[in-house]
Amino acid sequence: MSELRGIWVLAERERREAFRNRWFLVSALSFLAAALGLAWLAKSGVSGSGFAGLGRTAVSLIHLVALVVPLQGLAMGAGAIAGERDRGSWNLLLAQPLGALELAVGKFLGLLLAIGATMLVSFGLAGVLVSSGASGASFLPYFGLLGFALLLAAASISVGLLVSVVSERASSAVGIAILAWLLLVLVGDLGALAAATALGLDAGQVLGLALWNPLSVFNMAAIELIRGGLELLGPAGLVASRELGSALLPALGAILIAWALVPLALATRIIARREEVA
Amino acid sequence: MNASIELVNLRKAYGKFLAVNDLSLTVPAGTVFGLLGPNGAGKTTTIRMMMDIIAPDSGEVRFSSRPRTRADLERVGYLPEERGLYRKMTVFDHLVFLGELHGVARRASAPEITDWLDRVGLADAGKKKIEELSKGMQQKVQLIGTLLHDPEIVILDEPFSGLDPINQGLFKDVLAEYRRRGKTILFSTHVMEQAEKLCDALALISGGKVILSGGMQEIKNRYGGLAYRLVASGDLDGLAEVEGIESSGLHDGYARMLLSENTDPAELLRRLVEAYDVQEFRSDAPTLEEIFIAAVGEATAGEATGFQP
Repeated sequence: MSELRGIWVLAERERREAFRNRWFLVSALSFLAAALGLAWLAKSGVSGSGFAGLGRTAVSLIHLVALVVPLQGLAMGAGAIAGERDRGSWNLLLAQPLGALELAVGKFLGLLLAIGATMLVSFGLAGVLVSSGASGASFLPYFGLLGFALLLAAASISVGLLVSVVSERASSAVGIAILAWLLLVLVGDLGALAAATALGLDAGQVLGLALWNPLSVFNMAAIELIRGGLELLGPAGLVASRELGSALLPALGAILIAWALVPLALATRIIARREEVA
Repeated sequence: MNASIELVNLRKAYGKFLAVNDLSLTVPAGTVFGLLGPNGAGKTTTIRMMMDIIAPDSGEVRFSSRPRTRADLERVGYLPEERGLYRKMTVFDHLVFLGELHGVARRASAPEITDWLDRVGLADAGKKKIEELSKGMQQKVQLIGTLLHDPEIVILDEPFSGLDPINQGLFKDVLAEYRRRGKTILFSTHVMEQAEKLCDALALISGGKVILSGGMQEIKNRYGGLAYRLVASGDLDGLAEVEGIESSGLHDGYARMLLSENTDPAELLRRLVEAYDVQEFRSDAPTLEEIFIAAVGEATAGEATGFQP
């Protein structure tokens, strides 16, 4: 069987399994409901201006994506392999004519398709709602935001899979994933701020620290897309704009892609070792 | 006969526990091969290394006389000891998925699945979720998943555990059919009677080591397969001098004889009837369980004790 076919068969099964997962469905529907609610609020607050309405919706969606997408990606990724171990089906999968790369990428792609589909629907419906009857709406930043949200999802799934591949049980893998989410969402920015204050870091160093956090990277990209500048982020944002200029968004995208690829490569390597997790 | 699977000096340790210790064996093509041993002997670890589920610390797994590749696993059907099923999937979807992993497209596997479900008495279960099935039914689904792509090699880890006698019979019928079709079947069990009835060849494993291997009849002969029991009146002390008897020993009410290699038992009986008032003459070959116990004893003692009449 060709590698691509193996990846696709696995990805399809993973996507279907995700849509059978009640927690995922609840989180996806909550995301959709919140996105539609935010779009409705944005539309009702700005009459006749599609651009402003879309912009407001996008700003609100940044917070929603930053909160929900990493949780979904980390938790689903963490459960993907450790859950199979719990059910006893992982050994069956390992015994199939599938290489480590097919196993890892198949799982990754299936989860990305599931999360991506729910985001596409949420962003799409919210966009349609807010821009209906309005004129002059520019969708480019909005689509850009969706793209970065997908990259954040990919990075989160990838980290989740890495956690999953080294965890014996799904419960411990999901526990670690939630801890990682708390670190990213709650401690990430505050930690960087505390480190900057305690260590007396300059703006460039604070920026360097922030770039290690995929959530901060997403936030920077989202603000750049919607506002067209990072002055909101203070001196670190200004340094980023000044140093990278027009390469800012591609650089931020590349960092998120690296966050997706490196943990996935590590997970593949660990699967290839064919060692039982103790 | 060509080797279908060869394990060469396989070794696997978990910390200080040596699960498989320098294990080598050859599974001839087209045979039913039993991997026998008590619980914890290393059978499942050996099979998992065979299937590339876990990597050995050292040693090599060979399929058709060359190092195993992932592609080799396409022609293998594997039934794991711990039943790995996707409980939320329907029986049909689960089987289609397993077929697809072996390159069998849905439209090709669908009629096969229907036939198999019908054959194992699960004709109405296709649309049911696996979690709705009983344990025995789930095992039948697992067997279908193992055989759906018509593998050349079938590897079954404790296939009969948890099955009722009727379903054990069904599994045995399926294995018999695959044997007739010239497929290679390897299965592990700790129940010696099953192996005795089904296997052409076997390997006995204890403490992660092969302590005995070979063809079933060859092993039986080696461990007293040529033993016969005689109940007869008259002086049995001179039995060993009768032509065709290698050695004999007297027990409480009967004599146990080890026949010479080429002795025809019917011809021997004719001679015995002429000399004694024969009341009983029957094979007294040891069971596989007895052979196993003897082989473990030999391995422990480090020497072959052989058959003691």
